[in-house]
Amino acid sequence: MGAPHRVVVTGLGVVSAIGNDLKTFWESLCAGQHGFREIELVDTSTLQFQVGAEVRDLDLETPFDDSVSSLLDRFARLWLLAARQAVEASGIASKDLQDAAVITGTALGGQTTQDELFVALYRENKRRLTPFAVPRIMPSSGASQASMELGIEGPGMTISTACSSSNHAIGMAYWMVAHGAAPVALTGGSEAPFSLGHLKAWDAMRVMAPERCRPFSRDRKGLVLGEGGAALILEELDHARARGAHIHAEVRGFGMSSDAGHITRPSAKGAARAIAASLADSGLNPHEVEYVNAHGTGTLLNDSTESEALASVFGDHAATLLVSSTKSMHGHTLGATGAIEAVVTTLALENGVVPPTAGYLGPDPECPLDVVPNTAREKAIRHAISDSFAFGGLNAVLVLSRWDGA
Amino acid sequence: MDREQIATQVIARIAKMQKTSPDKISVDSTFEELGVDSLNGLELLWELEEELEIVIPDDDAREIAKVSDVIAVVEPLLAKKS
Repeated sequence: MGAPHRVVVTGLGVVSAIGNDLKTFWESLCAGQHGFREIELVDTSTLQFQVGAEVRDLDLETPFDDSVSSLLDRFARLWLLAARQAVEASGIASKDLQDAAVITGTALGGQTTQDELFVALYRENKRRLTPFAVPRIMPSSGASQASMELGIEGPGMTISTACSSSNHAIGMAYWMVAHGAAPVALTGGSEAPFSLGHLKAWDAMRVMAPERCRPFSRDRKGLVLGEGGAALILEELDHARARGAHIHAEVRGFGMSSDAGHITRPSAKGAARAIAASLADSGLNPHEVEYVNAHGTGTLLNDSTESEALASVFGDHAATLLVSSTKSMHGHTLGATGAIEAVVTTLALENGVVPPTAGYLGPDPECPLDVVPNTAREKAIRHAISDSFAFGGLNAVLVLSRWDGA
Repeated sequence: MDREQIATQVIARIAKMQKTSPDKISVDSTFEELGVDSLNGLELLWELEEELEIVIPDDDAREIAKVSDVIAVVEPLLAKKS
């Protein structure tokens, strides 16, 4: 609303349980292929759940120089590999990255390292820890490492708002580019949630699905944790045109809200407020939105609450929306999920295909939506939103639009 | 531990948690009536698991909405233990 610059997406990168490159990721989404397997990174024998969406078949060691490798937690590796993909695909020159912003999101940062060090300290009675502990654990290390590797000298920061982290990051990056704080932004997020300490914490919440995540479905039993990273290059439109960049989609708006409610129970009012704010920022009318990439965690409460929020913002139009939760395939990647789903939404707009909600068993009357059950649908959509609603009620919603060349 | 002892223990825990008298809670009280929200409910089950050295499966926990539900889940787990 009144921003001086239009902002477009000119690069995408992703690593996830359903693909470690954009093409594989998109093919999995279109095929309704999920990435839920028995967890290998952690001994799950004392947990009530054994399934996760781990990144597999990806070399996380040799892509990093020895001088840097010892400084990188798993979450930073996932982020940097996604970021490299996005930068390379965008074709942006090093000199154009100098003034760029780098804005990342993560809920947990280097908790894998922290968990390992706690084992060393408290179980193995080690007396000293590696001097690399602090640079590995700090949640902003992803942004810092990207800045160092790519020579990014513009604004840099990391946002941590639980499951909304990377949607907030992308939203901030969007507003920075729209308002002239930087001509280009490398943004997105990553998460590596698989440590015993962290999985135990989720086990205690009793929201974990035993086999797979079935958002909006009857008999859904909760979420499945996933890991991954996703990166987007956001660019001021004239800047992108001047260098002849390929444009995937336009970032059209961003909205936020806080529930002022409960630390874990979601609020339809808070979610609706964020959606409405994103639409107001975009200048679109609600009836112009055709696709919603839902937060859709697969918990009883999230999905019914999100359905209620959509009904309150969109009214009768809610029944005509296509709403899918791709967490049914890539899992809930916490602080990375907004970024992964922004990539999904961008690809859906660009390809005219809406990925499904996989694992759907049948309707739940509390979720009266067209959730694109189990099978992708071809539809040339013009405008879409991507929801993130975090524990603690910090909500963030992006609006993305198809790029038609004008 | 028989059913009545379990009931007394569960009610005492809820009373402490909700800062009320056990007399105001019966086995028929619902969590909603008692103001026990989802997170309080998780806390209650966790305390019972710690104290009684049992593990309440997620599938059972999901169905719990009143005091009698807690007792019905805990009783067979204790019986199995002994």
